[in-house]
Amino acid sequence: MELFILGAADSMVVAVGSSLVQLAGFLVLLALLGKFAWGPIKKVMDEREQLINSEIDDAEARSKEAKRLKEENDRILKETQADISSMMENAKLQAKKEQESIISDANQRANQLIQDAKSDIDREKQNAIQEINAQVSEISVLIAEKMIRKEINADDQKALIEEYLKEAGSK
Amino acid sequence: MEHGSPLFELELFGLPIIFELSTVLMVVISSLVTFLIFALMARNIAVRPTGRVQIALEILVNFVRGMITGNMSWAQGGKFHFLALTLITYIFVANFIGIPFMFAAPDEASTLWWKSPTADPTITLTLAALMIIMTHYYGVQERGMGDYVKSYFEPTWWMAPLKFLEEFTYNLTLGLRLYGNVYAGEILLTLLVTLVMSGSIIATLGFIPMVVWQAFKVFISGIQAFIFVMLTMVYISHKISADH
Repeated sequence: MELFILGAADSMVVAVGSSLVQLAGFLVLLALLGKFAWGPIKKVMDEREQLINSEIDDAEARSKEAKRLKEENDRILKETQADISSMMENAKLQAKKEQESIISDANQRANQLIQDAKSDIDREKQNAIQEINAQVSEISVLIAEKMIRKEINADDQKALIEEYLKEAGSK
Repeated sequence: MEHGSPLFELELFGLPIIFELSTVLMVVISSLVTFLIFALMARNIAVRPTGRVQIALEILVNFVRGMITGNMSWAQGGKFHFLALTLITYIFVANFIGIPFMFAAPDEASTLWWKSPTADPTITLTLAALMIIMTHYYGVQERGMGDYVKSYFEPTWWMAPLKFLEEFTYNLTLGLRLYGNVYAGEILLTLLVTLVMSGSIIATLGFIPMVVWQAFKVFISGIQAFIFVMLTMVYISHKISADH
């Protein structure tokens, strides 16, 4: 045991007991702190670390989702705009077609009306001429009757005048 | 300024087991104080920090974590976090506890009862030995017996005796550095206190140096606790990592 004396001074001895007490005391301290202090501290700090990690993950996921939604919205908007412009184009074409058909219809009907009117006028003219002819012959007979004061059969006279008139008309 | 030591001898299997009672007392008190500090600080701990106490505790925990990650990867060093935290707090408390006051019994030998337990080389060497033995344990556990033994013959075979000796000098330097700093501080503090208590006119001049020295001792207490734990982590990282 003398070998282990520190400092080789007579008054100093190796207090093995102190050493054992320190050893046991430190181990007991470790055990107690492990149970009463380190457990809760580690738990809380780990929990916080996990919480922060999961929050960051969540935020990243959310921003990714938001980006995806924005892209989708843009895509839908573009599609809708394309749809609308094509619909407008179609509507314009349709309207033009309708306009043209309406105009041609109207033209056709106008022509028809003009045609009808013309033929009506022709017919009426023909009728008028015939009537005038008839009246002229009667009037001529009356004039002739008065002029020659001669008793002639009205019918013979009429036939005679018509003959003259025809001759005159054919000239 | 000689102080007596209260010794208590126990015969066990024919071998004398000597207890230095003041050291035993102070070890128990330091351990209790350390336990109470942590138990009280960790009482109201919450995920969302609830107050300055928790912030202070977490600063300490993260500080110790930084000491470990400075030496090794967290995957390897994470399991020493609690040990390092307890060790640094215990050593600081043990260093500090002799500063505010001391108590020497008014008997003939003026037996010293209240002091820093770390002012006793037995205590510091015990802690150092515990740490060094632990580094060997984890060295074997992490790298396997083969690599552990091989590490003594690296970089060349004739380094082996030096490397073997080194393990003992680690133990001695680790323990004696702490003991020397605390013990020297206590001696100077005792001298200054004696000067102040002497009652002469010079005594009043001793008061300011005493206060200054106490402040410096608080600083030394922290630094030595830091160095002890830091070196422990360095030794552990030497033992458990393949590359140096």
